[in-house]
Amino acid sequence: MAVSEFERQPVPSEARLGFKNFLGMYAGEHTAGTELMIGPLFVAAGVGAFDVLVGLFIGNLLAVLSWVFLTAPIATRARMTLYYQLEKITGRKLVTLYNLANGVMFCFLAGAMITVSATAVGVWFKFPMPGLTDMLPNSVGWVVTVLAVGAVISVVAAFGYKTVARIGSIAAPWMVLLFLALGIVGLRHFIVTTGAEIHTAGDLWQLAKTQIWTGGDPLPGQVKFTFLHVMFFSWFCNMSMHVGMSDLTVLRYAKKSWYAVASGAGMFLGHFLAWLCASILYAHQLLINPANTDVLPGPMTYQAIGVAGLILVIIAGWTTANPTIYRAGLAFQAIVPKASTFKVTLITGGIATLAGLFPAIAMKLMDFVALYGMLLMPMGAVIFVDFWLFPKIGLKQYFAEVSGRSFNWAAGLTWFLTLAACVVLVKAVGMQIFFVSLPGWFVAALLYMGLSSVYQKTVKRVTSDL
Amino acid sequence: MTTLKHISKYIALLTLAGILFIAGLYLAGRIEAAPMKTWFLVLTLAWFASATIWMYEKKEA
Repeated sequence: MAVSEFERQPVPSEARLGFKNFLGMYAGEHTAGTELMIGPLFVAAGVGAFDVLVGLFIGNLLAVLSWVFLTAPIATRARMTLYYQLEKITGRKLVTLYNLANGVMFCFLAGAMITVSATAVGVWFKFPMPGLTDMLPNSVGWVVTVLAVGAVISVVAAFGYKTVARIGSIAAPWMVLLFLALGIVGLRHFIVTTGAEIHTAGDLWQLAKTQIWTGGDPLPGQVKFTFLHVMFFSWFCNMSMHVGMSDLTVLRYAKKSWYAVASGAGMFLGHFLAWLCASILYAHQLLINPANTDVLPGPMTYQAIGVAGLILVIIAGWTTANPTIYRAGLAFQAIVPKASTFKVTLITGGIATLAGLFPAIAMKLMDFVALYGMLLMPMGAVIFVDFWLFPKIGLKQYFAEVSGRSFNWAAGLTWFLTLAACVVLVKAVGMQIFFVSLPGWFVAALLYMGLSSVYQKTVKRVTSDL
Repeated sequence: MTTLKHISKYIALLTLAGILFIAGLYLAGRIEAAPMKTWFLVLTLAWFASATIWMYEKKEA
């Protein structure tokens, strides 16, 4: 679906799409190079078997339900892009700020994907690669490789976004199966290494909880993950898309609201399956050599399935970095509309490449993803409240458009104060960042209602005085 | 061209099934690591070749 079409109008009925379009899109989008980082990071976080299996199941289910019950109903009624809908509510200036924040976060996310792809190149050239606790680049070889990989990805994104997008569509089914193959191969390695005899599901469960996801202390620098951590992480890792409403831009093409169930393809094939399979490989790496705590998708997959694993890492990283850099470029271009898409995409790719030099983002990917969701969540609450609650409580929808304002202060203050509240919850109250977006959403919703009731009356009074 | 589309489609689907089959053989201890890795590479290349032809033929049709 062309997310850049019908930018400032509702999607007409003849342009709407069937269920299958969304299945492929979601499966491909959420089977990315970063899954090869996140899976191992669960093991590094000392997660137990029950916690990871049930936590991932419930968390991913909650994510699907968020798409189905929060995002899709608005998407299929308003039929607008997130940006256009937000602009009507918050005004052009506030949307510009939102675009800046979104673009920067996309850049860092793309940087993590470039880091993942670079680890595959590292297998061939044998230069030192960053460890789990490294924040800075640790070798010249690493710097050169990341710059080269990032340059290629950026140039191709600027010149030929559609070609890489097509490669991504072709690669998606292969990637899912290769992830599954990684898990099966990893399981075999565990059976051989431990001498376990697997005849029943009970034997498999015993292996899972005593050898693979053993629980216990996390590795140095990692937060201990419990059931709630796993559940909230897997629910909120795509918060910007469901609760944060950025998938309004995608689901506006759906003929029916329930098509958002297609997000399950991404959550259960991409996240649930891919994360578990990648974590099995890393757990075996630790079993063989507990001192080898490096989370490096390239060497890990190469050791498991050979050159096919390296191809997987490169393609998985590239095909997701490509649209991420492109989206970041579009977000920045909304701020400087006269700049060419080509130039903006190149510069955005350059920023992402520089970000990819620093392994901090990839090694702390779980925290980064949680931060990303938290940053954009308040605007999702603003859209939800504006769409469903404002007509019921006598407030005007799309107030920026109705009043002719370019900055809706009620929405702006909602965003800033919600983020401040979340920071207080994290720093002063000690709530971990993985959980804070849930109370944050309610804070944002209440703030927007309260602030709007004052703001709309004030604007009406000022306007009538004039 | 229609024949090419069908042939490439079936080869593509076979390669996907082949990936699972090889993984299953390895799990059962019926194949060693080196041939397993070779097969995965062959199936990967076969997938990209056949799926690309299949998608191209579909688009042309």
